[in-house]
Amino acid sequence: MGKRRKRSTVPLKTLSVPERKRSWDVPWMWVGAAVLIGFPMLRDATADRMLRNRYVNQYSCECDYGQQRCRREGGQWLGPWYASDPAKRAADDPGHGGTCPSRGATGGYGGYRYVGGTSPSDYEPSRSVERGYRGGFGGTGRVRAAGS
Amino acid sequence: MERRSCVPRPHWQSRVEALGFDFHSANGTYWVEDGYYAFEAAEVDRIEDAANELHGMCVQAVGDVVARGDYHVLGLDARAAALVERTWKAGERALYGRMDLAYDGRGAPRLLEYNADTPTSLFEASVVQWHWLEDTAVLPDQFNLIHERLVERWRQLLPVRSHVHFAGALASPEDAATLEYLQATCQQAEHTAQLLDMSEIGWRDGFMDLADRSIELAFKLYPWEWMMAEPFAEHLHRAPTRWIEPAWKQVLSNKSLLPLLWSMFPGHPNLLPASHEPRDIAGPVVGKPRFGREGEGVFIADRGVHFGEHGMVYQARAPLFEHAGRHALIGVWLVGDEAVGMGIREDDGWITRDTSRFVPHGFR
Repeated sequence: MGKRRKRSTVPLKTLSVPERKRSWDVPWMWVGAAVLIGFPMLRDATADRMLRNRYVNQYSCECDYGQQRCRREGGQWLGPWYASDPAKRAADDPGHGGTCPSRGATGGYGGYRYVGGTSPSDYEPSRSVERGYRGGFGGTGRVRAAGS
Repeated sequence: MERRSCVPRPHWQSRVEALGFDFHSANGTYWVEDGYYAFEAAEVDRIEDAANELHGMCVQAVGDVVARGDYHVLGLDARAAALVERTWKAGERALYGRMDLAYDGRGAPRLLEYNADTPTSLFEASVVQWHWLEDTAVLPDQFNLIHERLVERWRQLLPVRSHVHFAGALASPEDAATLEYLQATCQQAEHTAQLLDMSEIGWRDGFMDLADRSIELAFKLYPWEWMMAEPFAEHLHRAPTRWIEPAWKQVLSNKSLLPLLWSMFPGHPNLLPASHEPRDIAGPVVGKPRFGREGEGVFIADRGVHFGEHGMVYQARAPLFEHAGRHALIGVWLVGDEAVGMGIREDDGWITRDTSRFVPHGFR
């Protein structure tokens, strides 16, 4: 036959995804610890070239970025990471947001549907911007399937 | 080739879940337990030979593209082209891929596409259907050396006891399962491995993991064309990270490969006429987006297409195996440069999508 699998090597290990930390837990935990103890290797914040917006409500975030690119953390809504330098934004970079009012709050960013608002008057621009050095990959995977 | 019915194994759901296959009923039915495809050994040989020959032609096509520098026809920009060229010339080797073939049980298998970058349905093809055959013994054999060859390939690809980061879109259960399975094969080759989401990759003078350790070797289940369009694309050309699959796979996972192959090997029995110009194709035509996945954007035009659209590839329509309104697509798994196994997807329609069912197979 020649194509039969050897039984001894068939894996029987059960697959399970372990509990893992969220991406934004680690860098900020370390930055916080470094500030507290005067850690000398604290890096220059200008090296962190990714930004993301914090919103006070779901409607505002989803109006700027679409439903699948926003997530809730604490009492706030976080948009996706984007490059801080507009000149270095790639084709799928979600951008700095804030475009909802100029679009008349009639559609989601990049064609993605948003929900959660009751009216365009619910829109509030982001209250703060978070700085980091992760999130430069993975944005497309939130809205499309990677496998083929 | 024949589709047969069979009696489901008692408690089959818990059996497959014990293997780690917990998306067996995604979208209603994904894993088919009450049927299977039966082949003659000679048919499997024909499919295996076709896949091996096609793979050789594909590798030749990559070499030709790099030699000519003609990336425009593939829709690759200068940045993507530079990565293709660098990784090809450096001889970076590939791990795996899945070639989708149309085979109606009679003629030659024909190439529909080469999922050479981020193929999924691997775990069910490698492990779940093998356990199904062992349990049911409905046929004596199965075209399935996928697991063994993957472990061997990891040994060939990397220095002993390497550390590999596995990255992908972990929110997708299927992608997470594929990554976990590949991670297990890598560990069986005595490498160490860890999993992370693509969004967890950081950049500070190099790609870094969550513990800020440098990522030297990364297996990514994430399409190159997405990476090239995302913010960290600007770092790819100068980062020392070696990515698996290598960037030259952008030539193969691209539907524009089909017209390229047809121009290089016109009339080859395992190819279908293909072009960017639909009027080049006589008879029924299938339109495919260059970078589409899981049947996304694919359409069939039985009377042909008169006007081409940018970024679309047109291929002559080939019959799939059909039984009682079910249409079967043959996915041949390649590890390195060798065809090593097969998985079959089935759909009520003629287009195979992410909702298409997985049906086990065997041969005698």
